[in-house]
Amino acid sequence: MTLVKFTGLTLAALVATLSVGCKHGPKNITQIPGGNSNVTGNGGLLDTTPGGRVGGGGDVVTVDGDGNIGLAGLDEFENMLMDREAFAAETVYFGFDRSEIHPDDDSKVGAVASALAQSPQNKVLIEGHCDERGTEEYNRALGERRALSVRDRLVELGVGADRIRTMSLGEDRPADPGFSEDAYQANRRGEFVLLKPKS
Amino acid sequence: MRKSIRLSLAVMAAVLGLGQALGQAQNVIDVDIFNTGEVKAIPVHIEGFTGDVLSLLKFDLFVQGFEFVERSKAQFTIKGSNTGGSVSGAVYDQLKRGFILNKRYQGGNLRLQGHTFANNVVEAVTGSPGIGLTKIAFRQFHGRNTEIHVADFDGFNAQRLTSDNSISAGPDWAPNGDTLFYYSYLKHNPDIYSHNIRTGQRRTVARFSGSNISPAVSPDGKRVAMVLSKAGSPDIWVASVNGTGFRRLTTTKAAESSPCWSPDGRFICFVSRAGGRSALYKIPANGGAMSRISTIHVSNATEPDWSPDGKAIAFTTQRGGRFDICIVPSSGGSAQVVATGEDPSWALNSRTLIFTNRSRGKRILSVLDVPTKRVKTLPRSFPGNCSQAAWSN
Repeated sequence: MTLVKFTGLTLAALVATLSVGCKHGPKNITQIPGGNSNVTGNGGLLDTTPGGRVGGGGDVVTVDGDGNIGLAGLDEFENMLMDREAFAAETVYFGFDRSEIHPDDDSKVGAVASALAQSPQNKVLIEGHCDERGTEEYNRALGERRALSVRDRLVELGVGADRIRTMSLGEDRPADPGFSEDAYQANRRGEFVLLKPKS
Repeated sequence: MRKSIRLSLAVMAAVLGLGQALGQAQNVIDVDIFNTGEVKAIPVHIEGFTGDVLSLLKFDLFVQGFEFVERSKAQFTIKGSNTGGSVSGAVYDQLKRGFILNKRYQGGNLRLQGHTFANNVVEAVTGSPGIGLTKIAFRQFHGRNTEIHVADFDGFNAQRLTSDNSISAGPDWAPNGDTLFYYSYLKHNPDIYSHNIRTGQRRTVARFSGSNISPAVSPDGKRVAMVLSKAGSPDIWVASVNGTGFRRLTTTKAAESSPCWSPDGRFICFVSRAGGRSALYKIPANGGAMSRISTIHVSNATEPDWSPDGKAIAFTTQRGGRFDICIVPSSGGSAQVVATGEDPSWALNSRTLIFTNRSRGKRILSVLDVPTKRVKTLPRSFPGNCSQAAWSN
């Protein structure tokens, strides 16, 4: 298949053309290569290089100079079942454009920490969400910042950092698709998903 | 074989003649995109073209700073035809009283010929390269999921790149136009992939715990900046495009987002909440201290994109319930609003922007010529909401 090279095309077009005012037929023609440059689909994965992992297993989870606690690798959370109901009542909510945990939600985070303390084989996924009043990439990062705030609080309450996974959904999974203040508030949230080992 | 040698000789002889004629007309028109008034559009009169080719020509020229007037008011007359399945056209300079372009096109298809002619018109009149043959990659909504699509910059010939039935977002082009970087939740986590659009194959670039999002390929095509949260906070990281040599650049406890490169590859501009409100910063791509890029008159900056000529950074500000596109000198300074919308991406000409217009959940792509301040939605619409357009070279 002939490839269409974008910058090369204009040069080729210029080069193949005669000067001004010339009315001779065939020599005055600019040749355009190719037709549609087809995009072949479906994206077969060539490899599944997982990237590295920080901490996890028996390793110490690194904490940097600013107090950021490194995340355990994704392979720590493979082969686990997701239970969205177990902690459904403990969803925490955030102020507009904020990621701090509201004091009213402290008891909820505490309840999750207690439950995890009693079931050392379980882990937890925290999903961070935003309302739609922010740009898309900004909201993706804000959702993660929210999930990490919750994670940091769980760690303060004694849950091992290697038992907590975070995932931002940005503004893509609203709890309420409406455009009212109530809908927006319902969407600015952190949800806990219990992870139980497959047995 | 012999025929093509003859053609090459004829072509070489022609280039000499062509060079002289174009030299006169092709003074590069230097447009100040920071002019807060409206730079006057170049008035042209078009005749002889019909149907799709006429529409194509008008859109291409409109978004590159031309306007269409009657013959008596035109600075240039663009006359040609597209009958018989082939485009031919000439441009006559009314002031200098001479032709500055006269060509016929063959091969490819009518749209390619039309776009090439539009490019030749822009180059002949302004001295700057045309954008007619560029592509966009964007995110299209399919119900609750989103996939990556590619199209001609005017929305025609759209093709779907991913069918992962999950959320894919944040597309960015490698400079050679063959590979797209984006992130996808196909493995139940936002991970960054590089996707060769010719072969259809893709590689995982970053799949760490937490977020792997917002890939931005360096101008030399060798490195990719991204936002990773694996160190405990969303930070700017850089790696080689094959996903090795990861290096963390920012270390704040606040969230960073939306990296983009300076055209010389020395700096990465990004958004950080480190100062409280969301603001633009830059950091040396090889590591160092982050410094603020001031946006006077405009607070709350997100989604920056650095112009290919290095002069300006386009970004989004959010005030009240609305989003606005702004530009600021890349060294910082006075920022000005240039359109209503979000998430701008520069064309290679450093004057045309593509961006998203959002209202009550509906999202469409629009194009803005910054100097003339004129906006047009894409002539070819898509069967679903679209956002996050990235413009190829």
